[in-house]
Parts: sequence; structure tokens; C-alpha cells
Amino acid sequence: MKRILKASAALLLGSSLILSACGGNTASTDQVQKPEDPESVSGSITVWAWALEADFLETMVPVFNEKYPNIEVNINKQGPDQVYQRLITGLAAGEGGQLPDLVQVEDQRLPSFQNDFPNTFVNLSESGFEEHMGSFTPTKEESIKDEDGNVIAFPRDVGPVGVFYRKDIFEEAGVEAESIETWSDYVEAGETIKDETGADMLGLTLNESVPLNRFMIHQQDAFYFNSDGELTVGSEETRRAADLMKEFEDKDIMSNVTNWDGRVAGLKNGEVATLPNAVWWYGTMVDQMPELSGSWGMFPLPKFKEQGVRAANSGGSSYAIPQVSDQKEAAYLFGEFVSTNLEAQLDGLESQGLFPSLTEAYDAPIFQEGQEYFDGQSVYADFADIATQIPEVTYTSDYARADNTFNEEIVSMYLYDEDPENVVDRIEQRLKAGTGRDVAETEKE
Amino acid sequence: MSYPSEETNWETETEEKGSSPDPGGRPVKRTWFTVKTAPYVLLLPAVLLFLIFTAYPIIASFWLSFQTTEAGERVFVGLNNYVRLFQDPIFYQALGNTLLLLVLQVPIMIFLAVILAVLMNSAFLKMKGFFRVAFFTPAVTSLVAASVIFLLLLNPDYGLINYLLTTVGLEPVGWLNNPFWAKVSLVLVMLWRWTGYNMIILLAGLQNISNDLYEAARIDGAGKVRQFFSITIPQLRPVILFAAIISTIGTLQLFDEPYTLTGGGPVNATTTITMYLYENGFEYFDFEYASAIAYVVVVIIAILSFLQFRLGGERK
Repeated sequence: MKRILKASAALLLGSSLILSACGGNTASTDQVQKPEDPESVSGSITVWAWALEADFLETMVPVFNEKYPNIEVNINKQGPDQVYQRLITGLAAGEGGQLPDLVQVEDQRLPSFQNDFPNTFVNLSESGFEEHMGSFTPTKEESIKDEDGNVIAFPRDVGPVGVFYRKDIFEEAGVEAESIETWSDYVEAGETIKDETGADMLGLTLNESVPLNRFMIHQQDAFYFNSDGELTVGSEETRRAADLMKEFEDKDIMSNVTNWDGRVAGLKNGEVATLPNAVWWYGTMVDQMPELSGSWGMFPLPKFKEQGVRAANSGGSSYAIPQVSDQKEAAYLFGEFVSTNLEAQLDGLESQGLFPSLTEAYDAPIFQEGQEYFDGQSVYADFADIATQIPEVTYTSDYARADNTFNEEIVSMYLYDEDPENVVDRIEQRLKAGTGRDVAETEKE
Repeated sequence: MSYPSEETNWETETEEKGSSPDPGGRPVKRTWFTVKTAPYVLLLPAVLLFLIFTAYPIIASFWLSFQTTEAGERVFVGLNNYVRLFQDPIFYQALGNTLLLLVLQVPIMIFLAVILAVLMNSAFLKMKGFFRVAFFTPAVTSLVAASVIFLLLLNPDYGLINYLLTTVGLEPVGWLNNPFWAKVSLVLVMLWRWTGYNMIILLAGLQNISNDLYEAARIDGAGKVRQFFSITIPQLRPVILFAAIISTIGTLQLFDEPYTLTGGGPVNATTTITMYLYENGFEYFDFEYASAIAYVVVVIIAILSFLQFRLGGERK
């Protein structure tokens, strides 16, 4: 329990550092010039990244060094929480020695950093990254720009969302995955599967989060905020998603599973038939359920009758250079390499399952290949198709609060058996108070 | 909590040495390091560290709690953060959770710790050393490692505990995904972790009770139960009070256990006030609001500690 003291002390310390650093954040954007001779650039850079992305970078260093032999790259692999906390503290202090030269940041986190520490990342547009714009998926390109449209991070991976399903269970119930086009088809199929096999259509982790609700808002080209940063919580789209979430329970086709492990176990034991989630689940599935190879399939998110596409996004990171770095040139070269080098993207996909945002990669043979795990379905091509259709979103600096509030209230809808209308109204109230943002005009009637 | 008392010690020390007469009596060479200044000079490093790392952050975060960030700039907003806080349903929920845990868990734990301590102290128990270590070990075990085990045991679908419940014909329990049972799980883990710690404190208290008292009671014909209530409990009262105060402060600052076990869920059923502070500061980057929460927590702890000291003081 005493560690709490430390946590609060860290908070106090952190906040005092922010105070002292006010005004110290001079936005001197020095441009990075591309060298004529790769061997002429020398230096040593530190990169912070986590999990598979860090492993991916590690394998990229020797390849990068073939071209730039005099740049030493140190990959510092840490947990995501650690990366963020050290980054926040370091940025608040404004001291170069505390910070990496290149850092992995999830796309939805970028606006928060921009808001709290303006001009804290190097403006890559001024350094020449504009020449690569247009090579990535449109949503990704939008998410790495600041409010003025400048690129502030090197785009890396994306998380196109589809519906993984157990082929064997579908067959047993006599349900055709191809026939599922709308969410009502999905619910209907779920009822058949429940009747025929006893399996639930989907498992929701009510003790953690329910990202499915976010996917369903996103696929209707809506979000928590509009492009002006105003709240759009009470929108038709949000209510439609909440109603559907409730319908899953009313029709008794969902189960309440506990934690990530519970979700895996439900699929593995055949108690849950589908998993609507991002492409990176593939890695977990192969790892945890090797025996189910060949009994999987994937179809795009069903759509709502009224509007929207069969695509959404979950996750994805980019790389930013802190303004205080004194190795900007070397950091730029490495960032550009891991972001735009085709072989690097394909290697990341093959070895770590990280789905690239560089659209050129989608033409590579691996995308057309049938995957054995998916009974010969070329899932990468299907996911690439989804990736290019994902609607753009404005995350804003209040994304984390909005997402948590949605999760909490949607879960309380199940646990306390509440009306979706009231739940959405309450989310709107809470976010109005919590973020101080205005409600978008069209929502007010 | 130790700062004020340490500071008081320094002051009394300073006074004693400062008022001691100049030994020589004749004019000495003026230096900065004299008998009179020596205490201050020697205290300087500690005082400086205290000012930089304790006093300054305390003041800075107090100031921060009256500000907010607008377009990257901090602006003064008066009491806005506090007004927002007192209208925030999640704040009340977190506060309610924390107080509920305090009222439920601390008495149960102290009660169990007293029973265990008496058993450990009794003459008939063999292998005392083993039991003491066994009960104390949870307090020094890495909580993250322990949480992983608890998560496996308590898993509602595949956990061992629910398996055992179903084999004896009981309904499985939603240990982690039901708002009520998640609180129970949290209490269980806190009991597991801190009962042994309090037991050791109480055991030390028990061993200070003179055997003469028990002997006299036995001669007067008092049974074991009578001895326990008429000698052990009254003699142990100051130690019990100490354990209760420590546990109260610890519970008000509870973070690790719910963070690692339930993540505050489901639906904030196990979010404590410190977790909510952390969430606002480090997840939402809302340091100003987090500072306001910190100050409300400080006030609550101060009031509760004052009450407990008053209650304890009356007994003396």
C-alpha cells in the first residue's frame, strides 16, 4: 500500500516539473536535410518501443546499417505504460538526456501529447516527409497529422477489423458466413448457431472493455468527436450501436467472458463462435490455438442497413522524434526507413504479424497467398481491402476519457439491465463535464 | 506521515545546541562554521531535499489544482476543478468504494490478526517460526506475481475456486465480472496480503504483556476466555489502535491491489480514489484535476487520522 505514496509523489513531482518547464518548450523546428552520402551520417540514437514492434525494430537495425553503417541504433524495449510515463515525465522536464530520439506512440495518443506539450515532436513535413504522403492508407495519414496538417509521426502499422469465426461451428449449424452482410443477418445467424450448437455468437469482456461498440460507431463514419473536436455522443450512429449491443443480450447470443484469457478460452473451447476484432489477433490465435488450424475463417464487419462501410480500425502505432533530440538527422533516417521501406513492412508482417499501412505492400505475393490457418483463405488481402476503406476519425486529446466512459457505461447497460437511450444520455453528460467540450450542433435537437 | 515528527525532532535539537554557551569566551575567528551555526549547516542538506522534493511539489500541485490546460497553456480557473469534482459521479463512486473497503476490510482484518497473533503466542503451538513466516510472506511477496495467481484462481469461467464451488453443488460466482463479487475478491486479496503483517505487529504487543497478569488471573480462577477479554484485549488496545490507523491510511491510499486484480472494474465497482487520481493524471493527462483530487484525499485522511488520534488519546 505504501507504493501509493510513491505514485502520488511521482504525480506531484511530475506536475511540478511541468510548471517549471513552462516556457522552456521553445519550438525551434530545425529541418533535417537528407544526406548526399549515407556513410557521411554518423551518430547514435535510442528508440523506445514495446512488444512485437520492438522485436521488429531489432531485426531492422542490421538491414538499416547496410545503408547507414555509421548510425548506431539502440532499441530500448519496454512496456507501453513505461514508455508513456517516461515520455510524459521527460517531455515535462524538457531535457534531451531523459528522452529517446525516436519513440513509438499509438495513433490515438498523439493528439494528447500535442495538446499537453505543443510542438513537442519534430515537424516531419518540414523535413521532407511530404514526399511519402499518399503512400499510406488514408486514415493512417490523417491520424499522424497535427491540427495544422503537419506530419508529426512516421506511420507504421494499422489494425483493420474483421470478424474471425469458427468455420466448424458455422458448418455444424448450417450457417453460411458469406450470407452475413448486415448486423441483423449476424444476429439471425447467432440465434441459429445458439439453437443448433449451443455456442454463443460472441464473447464480451465485461470486466475490461467492449471495443466492439467503438467499431460499430466507427464503421458508420461517426465517432465520439467530429472533426472540430465537438462531442457527437448523442448521435443516431451512437444510439444505433448501443441498441445493437443491447440486442445481443436480449437475443441471448453473447456471453460474458473474463479478461483476455477468457476470450481466448471461449474461442478455443468452441463456446464462442466469432471474434470481431483487429488483424493482430491472428498472432494470438496461432500461438494459443495451433490445433484449430484450418477451422477458421474471416468476413468483414457486417454493416448497418442504413449506412456505413464494412471496415473499422483498432490499434496501430507510429514513430515520433522528440524536439529535444540532438540526433534528429539520424532519427529521421531510421524512422523513414522503418516506415517506408517495403521489405521492412513485409518482414514485420511475416515475422510479427504487424499489419503495414504502406499500401504498396498490399501488392506483395504474401497478401494473395492462401493462409493455411484460415483454410486457404487469403486473409491478408481481405484485411488490406478493409484497411483502405476505414473511415477517418478525429481522436482529440480526450480520446482516452471518452473511450473509458463508453466502455464503463455500455458495460453497466448489461450489468444493471439499463435502457440504451439512458446510457447514451449519461455518457454525453459525463463527457460534457469531463472534457469541457461543446456538443456538436446537429446533436442538440 | 513521518515528516512532521522528524521535523519536530530537528527543531528541538537545534534549540538545545543553539542555546549552549560559547565555550571559549574569547573572540574567535569569524567563520561560517561555528558552534552556533553548525547544527543549521549540518541540517541544510536534509532541509534542502525536503524543500525541493516534498514542500515544492506539495505547493506546486496545490497551485496546479486551480488551473487547467487550454491549447497547451495553463490558465487559472479558480475553483473550477473542485466544483467539477463535487459534481463528478465517478468521484463519489470511487470515494464510496474506498470507504466501504475501509469499513468492511479493516475490522475483519484486525479481528483475524488478533486471533492469529494469540494462537502464535500460545504455548501449545508447535513450529511457531514456520507459521509466522508463512503468514507474513504475503506482505513481502510481489503483488503482481500474486495477482496473476489470484486471477487464475478467481476466473469465473475456468478458475479453481468456481470449479470447487460447482463440485459441491454451488452456483459459480462472477468473482471478477460482477460488481458485488469483484469487491469481495478485492477484500479477500487484501486480507491475504495484510493480515499477516498486522499479526506480527500484534504479536510483538502480546509478548510485552507480563505473564504475572495471567498467573494472577489463573489463581483467581479466570478461564482462558475470561483471560483473553479481561487481560489480553485491554493490554493490547494501544497496539490494536496503531494497527488500525496504519491500515486505515493504507486503505485510503489503496491502489496496487485493485489496479493489478480488477483494474477498477467492472464499471468502476472497485475503483478507489487513488486509482481515479492516477487515471486522470496519467491516462487522461489531466494533471490539474488529479491535483484537485489529491488535495481532497489529503483533507479526508487528515480528518480521519485526527478522529482516530482523539479516540486513541482518550484511553490514555
